[in-house]
Amino acid sequence: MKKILSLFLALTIIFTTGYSSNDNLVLDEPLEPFHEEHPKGN
Amino acid sequence: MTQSELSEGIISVSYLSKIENGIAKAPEEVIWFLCKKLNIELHSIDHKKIENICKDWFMALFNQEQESTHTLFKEIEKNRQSIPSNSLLNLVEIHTLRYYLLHKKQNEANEQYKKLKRISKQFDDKERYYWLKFNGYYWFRLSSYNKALSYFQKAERYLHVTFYEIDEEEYSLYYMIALSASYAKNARIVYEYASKSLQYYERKVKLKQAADCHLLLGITFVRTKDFENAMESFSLAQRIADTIEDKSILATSLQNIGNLYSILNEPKKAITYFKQSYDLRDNTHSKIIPINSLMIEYYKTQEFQKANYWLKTGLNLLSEDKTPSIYKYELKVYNQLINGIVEKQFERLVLNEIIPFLDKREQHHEKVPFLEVLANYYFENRKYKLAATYYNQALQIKTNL
Repeated sequence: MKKILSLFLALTIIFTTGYSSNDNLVLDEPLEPFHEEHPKGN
Repeated sequence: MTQSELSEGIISVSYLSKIENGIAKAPEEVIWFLCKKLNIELHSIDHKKIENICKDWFMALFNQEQESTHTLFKEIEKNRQSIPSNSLLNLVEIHTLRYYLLHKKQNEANEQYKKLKRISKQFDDKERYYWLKFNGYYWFRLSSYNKALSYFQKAERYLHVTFYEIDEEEYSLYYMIALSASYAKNARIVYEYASKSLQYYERKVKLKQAADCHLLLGITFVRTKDFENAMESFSLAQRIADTIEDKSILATSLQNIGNLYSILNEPKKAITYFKQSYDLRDNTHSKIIPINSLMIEYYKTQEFQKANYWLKTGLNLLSEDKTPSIYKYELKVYNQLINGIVEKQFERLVLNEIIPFLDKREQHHEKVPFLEVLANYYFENRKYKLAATYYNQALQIKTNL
């Protein structure tokens, strides 16, 4: 029962986050936050 | 008073002439006698001189002039005892923190910070302004952007008391508020303060500063998914950088355009811009940003050999660098993704190194992609309970933000 619940939770989260399975483990998004680059301080 | 009246009984007229014209340097006792005859207190000369040196130093620090801040600092150190008032002495002590930060002397900055904290209760309004502002720089340097932002905003309340050209001071502070808000992911504050600064810098035709503001606005537009305005802001920054031939701003503009194309799922265009940005950089440290972007872009398009090439380039570049950085962690993560995951190592890397590293810097938003990478891995390996745990953690961070 516990296992079924865990699986259900995993699937719910996967569907709500919009994640789609991919055999090559290619990410949906790059690790984007560090690839914007800020200007320098003054 | 004529030259002969002044020099009588002290030195010859011709010697006085040479002193006046800067050809000869007078001994101290001669200066003392001359001043006495002119009814000038010798101390007042010293005091005025040191006061001016201090003001020049404050201004040089404001303009980030590396060399002159250093020379003037040495001069002030030598004449510290002649500083005429407690208030000026306090301002010197407060600006010393800025000096250490500018010259990247972190240990000295830490000591100075502790020292200032002990005496900060007695600061008047002007001293408090600079103390709060430099507090902002201190925390900014330590990547604690929320703290930095809060100190810059506190400094704003004391803007009326500064003694540089008030406009310059005001808009430089607004820019730092916008910059730290951008790191702290506060879009509303970035938009408000970067817009105010941009208007001022455009009016004053200060193009470099205007380009920096365009970049900040562009980043904020990307985050709020206003991609059209984002592209316009980055393109304006790029155009200014081209005009004033500023390689550093140009490299940053191209990196951000690349990132925008990456988000818009146009990897070919993204790669072109990242490469241009990479080629423009002389500084090894700043090269890591486009290197990591190229590695990830090639990984996304499943060109694993090319991804591996940029991974190796990044690892080589940072091999000598012992300090932890988010770029280094990113390389470690992709090293496993590209060349095969060792489960325990991978889990330890994300949970015991990267997450605490980001927690310490209050960069919670940045934890999301790493948690998702880990969750994806468990999902692919049918470890659904673990996958759910980390998707859930990522989701909670997203929801809280």
